[in-house]
Amino acid sequence: MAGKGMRCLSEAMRGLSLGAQTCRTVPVRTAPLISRRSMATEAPVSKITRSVAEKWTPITTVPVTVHSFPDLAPRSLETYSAKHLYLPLRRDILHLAVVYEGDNTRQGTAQAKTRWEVAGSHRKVRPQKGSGRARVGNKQSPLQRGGGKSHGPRNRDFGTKLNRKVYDLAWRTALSYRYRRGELIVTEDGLDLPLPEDFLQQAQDGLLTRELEDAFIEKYVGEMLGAMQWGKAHGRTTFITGEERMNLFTAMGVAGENGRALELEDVDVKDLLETGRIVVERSALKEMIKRHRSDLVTSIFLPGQKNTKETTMGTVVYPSSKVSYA
Amino acid sequence: MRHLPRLRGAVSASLCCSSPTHIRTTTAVAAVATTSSSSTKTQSLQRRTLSTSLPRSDAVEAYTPPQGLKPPPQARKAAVRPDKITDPAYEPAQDGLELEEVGGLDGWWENPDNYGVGRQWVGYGPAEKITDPAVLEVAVYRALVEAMVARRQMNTPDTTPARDALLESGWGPAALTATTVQTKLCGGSHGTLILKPTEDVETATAAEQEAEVTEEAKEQLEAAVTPEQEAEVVEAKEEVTAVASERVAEITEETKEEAETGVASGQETETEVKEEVDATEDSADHVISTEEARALLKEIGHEWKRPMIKDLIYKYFVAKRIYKLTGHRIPDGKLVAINSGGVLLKEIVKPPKAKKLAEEIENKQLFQSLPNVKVFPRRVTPIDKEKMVGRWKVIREELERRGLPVIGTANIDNAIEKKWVTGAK
Repeated sequence: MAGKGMRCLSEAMRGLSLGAQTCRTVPVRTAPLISRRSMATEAPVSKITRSVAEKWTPITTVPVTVHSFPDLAPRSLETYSAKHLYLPLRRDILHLAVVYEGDNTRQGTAQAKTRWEVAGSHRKVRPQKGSGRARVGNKQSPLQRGGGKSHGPRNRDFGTKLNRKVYDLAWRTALSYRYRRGELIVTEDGLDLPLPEDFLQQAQDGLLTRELEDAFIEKYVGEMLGAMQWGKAHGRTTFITGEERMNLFTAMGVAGENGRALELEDVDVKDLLETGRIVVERSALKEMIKRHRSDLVTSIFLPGQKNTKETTMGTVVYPSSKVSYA
Repeated sequence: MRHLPRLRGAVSASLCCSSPTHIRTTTAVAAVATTSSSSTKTQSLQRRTLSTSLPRSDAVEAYTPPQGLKPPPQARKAAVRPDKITDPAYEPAQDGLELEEVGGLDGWWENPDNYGVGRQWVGYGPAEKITDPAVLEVAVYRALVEAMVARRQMNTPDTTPARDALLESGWGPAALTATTVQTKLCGGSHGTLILKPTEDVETATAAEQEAEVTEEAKEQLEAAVTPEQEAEVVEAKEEVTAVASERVAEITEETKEEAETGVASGQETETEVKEEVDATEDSADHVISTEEARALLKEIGHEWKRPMIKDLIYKYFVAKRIYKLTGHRIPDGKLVAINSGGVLLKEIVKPPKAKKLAEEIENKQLFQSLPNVKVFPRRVTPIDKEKMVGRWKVIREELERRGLPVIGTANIDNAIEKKWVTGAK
């Protein structure tokens, strides 16, 4: 009786199982469209996705305004490739470059004498036995005062390597970082600091002592950069020129608390990341980019083939005679 | 040891102008970039730029070198030796503090009589940035209008001096702002910012809205129009172009006249003009007040904020004009992202950035609802904590009663035993 009952139950259970039903449509209860609304508060549709129909047009060039100095009047407009001045910030690459530069800047000239380099006789200081004191070899021993240094610093090269393309990318990333933050100011060629005529005349005539000259420049430059909001209170300013400009470099040497001036040859990635802003003359900027674009141009030239990777650099947009207007 | 090169003298400075040595990337384009403008003429003369081009001959005539730099006296007077003094009342000083301080050139330039006046930096924009939101909005609108006029002029040959004058002029008389602002900007048929056509044009077909800033829009419109409509559209276009050019000419005329004579509006009668000249003679550059700006903003409306701004040169003109009017320099990196008047306005009208985190939190009224969070502008010291519970007064009195230093350790060193324990040298 009981066995029969069990069998009936198991049969009934088997009949209910999914496997027993060969084809079973799951009933889906569809609400009418008008009343289909969730009870929860609906979040607005995210704008981070974009319609497929909308054409994606990335920025290919970015504008660069060329200013006069020191009045900072906009004089002309140029465009640079986004790969030059509008790269995304890559802190890791900047870090690699700064460490690479730091390693290669180390002098590595520290050197201490080992026991073999310390001058003097290698005679045994005292007999091995019988003196009642510790056994000693010669006086150059590292244990002795005036002896050699064990494991001391030796002349060596601390330089590390970094792939050229990575370093060049870091350079342009640093420029892009400045550009995006509005801290890259491009000036006309011949960037120099104009000093007052009467001061220059008196300095040339020898009426001022060196201390007075320096004091004047310090005051003049301090006031000028202060008024421009470029001085000490605003994070100092780095001026970059293609060659040394006497007045600018002298003045920034004297009034160093307000900024610094660098020749193009002396600039590296770390310099571009320091101070509040970078002021660079346009030819120096072009040269910088030209020297640091190994990942953008190929070094292999085939006859009759154009370098397709070449990108626009410093194309003058205004003033230009070719501009047309609809 | 100094490694600095010394200053270049005045004579050698002028010599270096004639033979500039640039690095090898300097191309012919550089000549384009070094054009000087008339508005900065006097400025560039006051401060000599050693390595740029020589000042113009007409400017040299008008130039007077800045006066006022006073060199120190060259003749030095030595004090009389003590044994040569004949004054019986003379008593030699016993130590340095008794000596009278005479001479010395420390702080020579701190005296304005020696340093001279008028040496402050003069930039392209005004000396102080405009921060009033209403005035800024009017300035931005005015810049958008004037820049569009300048942009339109670019097709016409020989308009460069007029364009430069328009872009580099200051605020001008108050009426000039009011007149300029009356020109309406709106969205074109492709969503770009255009000068609003006049009434008769508005009643015409939709196709004749074609007064776009970009060529791209023009092409798109042409592609959309069927050949049957083409003739109609061409007619409409000509009409609009004529109207637009009239408007441009009108504005240009106004601007020119006003720039030259300081007259408020070209449409006024001669008698009114004369009165206006008298009235505005002493206020050549009138920055409008907040009340004036608010009144103008009612006329301007908000229609101009949404339409797109795509053209790069137009953006450059706008930025240049805004810098001149308000002193706000729009960085190039931001110029990329600015695609409408509203975005431009938002970029300029901003509260000043807080220097400290505490200020930022205070300005934004953060953490107001959290009862267990307090924000302090500086580190909370142990003394502050004692003050909070009202114990500091008692501690202070007790320390003073015992003759102990209230703040710090005076001359009392750390416990000597500490050295013995730690073995520090």
